[in-house]
Amino acid sequence: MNIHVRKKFVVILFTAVMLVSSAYVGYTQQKRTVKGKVVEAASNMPLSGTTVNVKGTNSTVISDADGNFSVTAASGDVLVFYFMGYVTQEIVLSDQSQIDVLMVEEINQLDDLVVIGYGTTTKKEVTGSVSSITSNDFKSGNITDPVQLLQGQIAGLNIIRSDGGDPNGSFQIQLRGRTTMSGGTSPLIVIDGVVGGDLSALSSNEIQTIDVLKDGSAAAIYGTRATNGVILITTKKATPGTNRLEFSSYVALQTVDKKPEMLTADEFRAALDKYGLGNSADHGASTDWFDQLTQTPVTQNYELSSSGGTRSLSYRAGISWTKDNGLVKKSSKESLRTRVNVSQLLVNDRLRLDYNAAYSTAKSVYADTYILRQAMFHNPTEPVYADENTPAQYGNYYYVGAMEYYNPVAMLEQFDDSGLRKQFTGSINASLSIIDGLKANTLLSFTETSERYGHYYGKYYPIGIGNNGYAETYNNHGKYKSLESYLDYSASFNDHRIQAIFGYSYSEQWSESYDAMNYKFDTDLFSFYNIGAGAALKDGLASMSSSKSSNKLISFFGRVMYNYKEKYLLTASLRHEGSSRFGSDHKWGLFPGLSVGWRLANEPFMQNVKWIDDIKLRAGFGVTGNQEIGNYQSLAILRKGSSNFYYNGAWLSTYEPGRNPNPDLRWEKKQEFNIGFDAAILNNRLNVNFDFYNRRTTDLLYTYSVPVPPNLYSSTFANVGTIDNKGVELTLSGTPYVSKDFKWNVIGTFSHNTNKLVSFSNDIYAMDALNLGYFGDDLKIYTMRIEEGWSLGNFYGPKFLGFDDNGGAKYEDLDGIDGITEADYQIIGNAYPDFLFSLQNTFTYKNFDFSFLLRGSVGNDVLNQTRVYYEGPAYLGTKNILKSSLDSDYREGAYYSSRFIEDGSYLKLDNITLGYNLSIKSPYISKLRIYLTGQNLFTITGYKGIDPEISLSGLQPGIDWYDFYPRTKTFVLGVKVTF
Amino acid sequence: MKKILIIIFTLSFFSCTNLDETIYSSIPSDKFFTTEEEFLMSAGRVYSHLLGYTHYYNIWGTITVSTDEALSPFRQFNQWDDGGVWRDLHAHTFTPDHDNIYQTWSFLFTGISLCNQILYEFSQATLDFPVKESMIAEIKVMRAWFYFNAIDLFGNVPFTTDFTDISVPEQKSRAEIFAFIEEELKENAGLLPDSPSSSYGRATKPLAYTILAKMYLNSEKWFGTPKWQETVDACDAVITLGTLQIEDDYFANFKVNNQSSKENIFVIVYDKVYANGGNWARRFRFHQLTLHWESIRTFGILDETWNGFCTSQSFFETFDLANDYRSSTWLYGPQYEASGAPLLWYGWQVDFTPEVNSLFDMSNPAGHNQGVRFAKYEYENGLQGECMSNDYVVYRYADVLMMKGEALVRQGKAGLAVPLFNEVRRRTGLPDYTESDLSLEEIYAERGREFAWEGSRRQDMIRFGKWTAARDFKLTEADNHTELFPIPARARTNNSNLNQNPGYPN
Repeated sequence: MNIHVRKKFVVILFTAVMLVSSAYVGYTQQKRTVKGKVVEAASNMPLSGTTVNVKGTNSTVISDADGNFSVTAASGDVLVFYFMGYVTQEIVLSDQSQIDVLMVEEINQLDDLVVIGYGTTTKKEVTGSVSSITSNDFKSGNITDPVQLLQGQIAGLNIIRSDGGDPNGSFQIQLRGRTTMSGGTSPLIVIDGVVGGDLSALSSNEIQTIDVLKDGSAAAIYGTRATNGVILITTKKATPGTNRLEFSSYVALQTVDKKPEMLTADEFRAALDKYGLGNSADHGASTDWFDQLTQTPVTQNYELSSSGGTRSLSYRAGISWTKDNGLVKKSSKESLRTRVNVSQLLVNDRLRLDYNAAYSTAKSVYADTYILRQAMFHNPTEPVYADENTPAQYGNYYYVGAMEYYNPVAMLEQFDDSGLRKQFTGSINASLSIIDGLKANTLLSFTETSERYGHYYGKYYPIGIGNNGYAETYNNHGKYKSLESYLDYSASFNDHRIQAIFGYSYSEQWSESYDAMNYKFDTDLFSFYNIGAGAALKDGLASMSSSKSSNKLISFFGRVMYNYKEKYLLTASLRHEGSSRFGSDHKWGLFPGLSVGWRLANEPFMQNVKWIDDIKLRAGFGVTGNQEIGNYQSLAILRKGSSNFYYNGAWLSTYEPGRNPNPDLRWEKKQEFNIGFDAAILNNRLNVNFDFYNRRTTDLLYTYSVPVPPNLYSSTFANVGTIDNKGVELTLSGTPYVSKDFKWNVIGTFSHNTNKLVSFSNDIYAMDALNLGYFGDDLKIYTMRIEEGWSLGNFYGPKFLGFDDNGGAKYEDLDGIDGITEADYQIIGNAYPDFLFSLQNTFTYKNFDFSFLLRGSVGNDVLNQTRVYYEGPAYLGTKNILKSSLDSDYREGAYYSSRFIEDGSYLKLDNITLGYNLSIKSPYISKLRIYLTGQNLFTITGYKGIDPEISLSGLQPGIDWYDFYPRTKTFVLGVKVTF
Repeated sequence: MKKILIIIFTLSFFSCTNLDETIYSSIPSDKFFTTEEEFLMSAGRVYSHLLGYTHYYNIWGTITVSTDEALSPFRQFNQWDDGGVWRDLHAHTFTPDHDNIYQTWSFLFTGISLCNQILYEFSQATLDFPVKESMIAEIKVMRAWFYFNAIDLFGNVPFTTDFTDISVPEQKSRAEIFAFIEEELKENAGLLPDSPSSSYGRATKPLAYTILAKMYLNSEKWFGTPKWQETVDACDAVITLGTLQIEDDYFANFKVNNQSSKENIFVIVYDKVYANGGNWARRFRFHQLTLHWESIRTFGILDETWNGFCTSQSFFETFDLANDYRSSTWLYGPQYEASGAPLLWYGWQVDFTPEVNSLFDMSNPAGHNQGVRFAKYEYENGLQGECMSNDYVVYRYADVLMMKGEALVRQGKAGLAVPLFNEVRRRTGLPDYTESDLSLEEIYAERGREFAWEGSRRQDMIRFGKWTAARDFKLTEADNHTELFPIPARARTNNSNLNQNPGYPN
């Protein structure tokens, strides 16, 4: 399979070999025909397509489908066997006329191409911090979003599925720490050069490579959108000269990993007794509310892809369908993803056109995580369905009146919430070779997204009884157009090699939305599909709204890569970019990147150090920006007020300024310094990549609090603060053992990051501290705090010292004044891990492969919200409490303290896969792969809650909210057939 | 072919660099203010801003829960503690970090900034229209009302009247701002209509003089300078207009359709459709605040109710339940469904009892049906949407008569005060006052009964020297520093010119 992907590269190398060989003058002996067979070492299968060259001559043949070749050569000639991805073999011909050659897969990764945006380079030449994975390294399993492929693979890239096992959940990606207060935090996604793509609309089967630009010098070429790094996706392309069909499918079964441990009905009764609460809260039934809401979900996936064509016109088309059912009843996601790629060569092969079209739909039925919270604290002695005392308006559901206390089964059954998202992306890329070394490239792309969401609360939905059905629909329509055009020049003279690009980029985005709400329906049968039928519209209580906005981004960019003697490398880039979103005098920004590399291994004094195959030192500096702030933020605009006022017997609308205007609104800028090295040692058996970075974000965008008056509103969106992030990343990858039948690959990553909020005040905007992590229910307290000079992610509250004899809690009293007030609060934990690590092992034995991925985090603190509220008898009676309540004599109410901040360090078995590959000699099937995967099979942790791996993005990381959708263990059986 | 391609590639480099924004669903500020109606629609924000007044986290909750007329006890099942904001208000243990006090501050100063901004818009207008002058006067009177509340609650406060001055305002003394309000009201009252009904829900002449009367009434307490005669004069300025009268039915002032009341001087006009605030913090939701979860079946309400606020036992006991018509202000005793069947919760009949176990005691919390509930405003049958359509009464004519009466009594002219008090009291079913009945103590108690939960109690308690005394769930205070609320810490972070009020941590 490799051959098709890397064909281009083969051609280049091969040409180079030819050039060298033309200068070679050998002697000739008597020639004869030598026959032989090329066999792939690992599979012991014939290897077709191997280039066999008689060294120093133009005599070259290619091995046939059975690996056989026949070449004319003389004794003493050297035969060179070349196949991309395999170790090149040179065999000196003696007298034999039959030669069998074993090709061993090449371990050396240094010649691998690295996509760096507007071009490529090789691993050995890259000077920025760039990580790559290719489809060969992709893990198997229930991969619903390609982001999952990166999880645990790239040091410094922390990916968390923050919505637990929710099939409609999304992944949060954070690269090298939190660099912003309010701007966007997701890396920029570039799919085949189209900037700003949507990964979830792409099937992972369609992806060839994923490259991640991590440091500022590498990312600066993408300027304003690159602060959070850049993920470059290269999809699989048409393969000329083949005619291939691939089918793959899997089925996945999920079971809940862990659920909140609340009292069972019998334990609940015993607890009522223990705390002397009488039996009025005992409703006589025994209900496991969690079981009432959940199911054992099955997921199915089917994919089909074809490719083929001639050298000048080739295509690839793929279609994928996945139905992912969720743990919570009704929740599901059904995705259809299609993609077509056509490539054409014209004008004497000087012009290459690539057409890409992708269409995807995702149909979601959402789970309301609030029902999980309701189920968690619901009284287990209540029956699910109504008895004779239930008032009629609650329908068939058992009802107990209490504030914010609702029958979760009624909530599940009486609520429909679904969405349909469709996306079309079309692009055409034209690449014209003008003269040798000079190419022009233009990419036009167009993306159109339409989304329809709707929900309907039935007549007996327990919140808003009396609404008689409540429907709402939202429709969004988005459009994105872009042009990326650049010239690419490369040349080499003597020891100098240079590659330069210069380009222009334009993109414009529109979004429109429309929504409508109505209630008081005569029947539940309409759901939200007949929204005009509700009576609330006539009563003036329905609502309707629509909006439209747009923004533009324009830039000029250039980059020069220079290579002297394969030793000294330099990359310099500059992007001049303007966004319509900023203040009139601040629209344009300049984003430079500079990095240098020194390939130490090529210096004469290193030639004797045999155990080092290659070593390169790198240093880089780059500036990137962040513009993910929403449109029109700098303008003085008026909007319609939310309420009318009474004027002389009539109601008049009101109009109000949209915000405090800030014409000085400008880019948030990040400067990053990165040093590191890449080394290949022990015959390329071990690769080491190390990076140290120091990134500083200035002009932090945030909604700063301002005095009223003189301002109209109490906050202004402005550029004020500074955040620092520093860290190290280490990736070790290697092949500890390899033989004819057995191969063992290991990849380990390690990353460590610290951050600090340097400031968020200046002359105009003053902020002492920012309180976050608000617990609104009953407690009304902030659990986190940011102050200047502190790290982000600090938990802030009273320090728990233990229990006293009366079942009360003791807290550290800092101010010496009786009672615990805010003056006694202190930093009691931090949500960010000290370090993250992962270890992936892959073993291949003959046709079997076995791999497992471990992922871990050390030193992350987690605030367990469920315990704050429900570990203790405060709510016992109306509500259920945690089993662990009975472990202590605590008798007071719910209160926040360090008692509930837990060490959330964990080690997870993220993925374990056993596969069997078969090459079949059959006119119908050429390859078959069957695999069995387990995902999230175990977690080793001391954390008392459901799962310590929780959201770390945002300004209030590390809170395990009590409506968490539990993660599942997933078992997958899959098959892949190539025809 | 090749040439054409090169041209296309080259052309693409010269594409546009224009980054102007196109606005679709909002209005650029410079395109507005072309018609009279556009000015009015901008000025009307002062009134829609008032919709926040009654919110329990806003000024109404702050000045009501800090008195003896209302409390929100910590109820069993860990409810209604909200981090202690209610007990801190009720027990006077609030600090500069108290969130409701900050919300109150924000409400007032946003109002002031809003007025400044609207007045600036009017000053920039080239357009002339008939009501321009009176509209400016209205906005100035409303600004005076915000400042009056600000000095009442916080004493010395930041002061500015110029929207174009973007510097952080200086703090001015209560006396300086008092003088400003006094002058502003006198200057503008004449430009406003005489009758609240013709300009319903907006600033009128009676409102301007009512504010003035309230300022003078409290002058002795605030500055040690009695202004009793000025109080009488300001009240007379309202009375002599002849546009107001005491309603025969006390509760007519609080009906769903209370816009027909002849007694209400200034109301905040709520409407479940047109003026529901647009967000949760600007809805008139007394029903949700005070009623038991099950009480919805008593009143046929379709919203959820929250079983929170109630009144204190001592305050409730100042009512003569058997004889005082105003006792229906309260909902007490066993409760029934609209059909007459007992109102059950868990099979037990809901029964509101005056006594409350505790303000905050986790081991002995208030029971779910403890505390007498508020029902002065009519609860609309079938109400839905979290906002009552009754208009909230800020000031009533009864207050003007009773302020005048009090000022006369304090001047030693109790005889002249008797008819004023009796004009209000006549409808209650209680015997008329005689001159000897009118002690300050009685006036204080009568004001309590007449204006329960109408936002008057805090001023009354301070003026009659009751504020710092011990009462249900509050100890005697060592000094009187709580007569002013602390200047919120957040306000001081943003404005370093502000000195904290005495007695609070700096």
